Amino acid sequence: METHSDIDLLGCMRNGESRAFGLLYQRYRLPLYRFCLHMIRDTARAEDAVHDTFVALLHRAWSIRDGSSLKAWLFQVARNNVLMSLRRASPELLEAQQDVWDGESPQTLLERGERIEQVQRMLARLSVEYREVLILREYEDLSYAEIAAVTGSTEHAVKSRLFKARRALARKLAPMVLEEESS
Amino acid sequence: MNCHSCTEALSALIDRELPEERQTDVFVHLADCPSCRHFFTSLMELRADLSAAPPPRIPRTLDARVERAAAARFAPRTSMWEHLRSFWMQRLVVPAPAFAAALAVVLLSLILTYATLRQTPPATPAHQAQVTYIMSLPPVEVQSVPLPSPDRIQ
Repeated sequence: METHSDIDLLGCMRNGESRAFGLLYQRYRLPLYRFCLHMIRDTARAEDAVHDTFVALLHRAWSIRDGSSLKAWLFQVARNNVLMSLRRASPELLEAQQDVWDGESPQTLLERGERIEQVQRMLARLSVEYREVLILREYEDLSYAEIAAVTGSTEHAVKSRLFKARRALARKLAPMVLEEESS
Repeated sequence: MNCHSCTEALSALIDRELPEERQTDVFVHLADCPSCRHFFTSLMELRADLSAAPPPRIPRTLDARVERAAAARFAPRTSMWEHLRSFWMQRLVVPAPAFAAALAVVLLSLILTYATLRQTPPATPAHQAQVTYIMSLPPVEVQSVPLPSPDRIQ
């Protein structure tokens, strides 16, 4: 049963098999928690968002359309929970932003610490709409179509945001590469 | 192909989302453009850095919370018969004065009903015969009679 597809497990779950839900939970708890944690940056609130996502699966599994991606559905629900959590914490974060960076430029952050940690910090400083597409692509390996379904946008918009987010991160990382090469 | 369209295409290329017919143009541009090659290297390094981050540790409380929610959702549902049985088996807690008052009201109403029924005389056979005779009589036709004139009354 461990190798069954999402759709098969969803069907078993609809027939009242709690083990199928357990397998789906084991399959998606890390990706969902990683996504929520990267987005919210708070362990307790990320846990709440993931918990609420699985509770939604328990109660709304019957409403998921056959043929649609369960993975995309789960990330869509998790994203809504994340946005609600962020909105409660600081509503100004979710206003439409022209800037890729969320607040302070990470230039100063680059001067200390190790590269991977700095990349994580810079990722955390990306504004919400750029951060979410990059996490869904880099960590969860969602296709452009799936990311578009999760975020309620178009594939073209996803492609554009990914490009801008990567370009912004790459430009900030470039001085660091030069420092490493010179040392 | 210019540098801007090439860098945007490179982002899609590393995601395996760039159509094959455009890939040739990108590689041709990369061969002649050191700046775009550098950007491509930066993208690959960025991807490696992001994937090098260790996965987060999932809080233990999350497993317990989700398990509780699942147990509640998949709990066996009771049938109608079990609902009725549990209804009759449940114990009611009623204060003694209230129970005594309710019992007194029930007893008093029973006594009054009994007393009222005893006072009503039962129908005798003679009475029943009279009723049967009256009901068997033919209906009486009432004829109109002219009224006497006032001077004759005087």
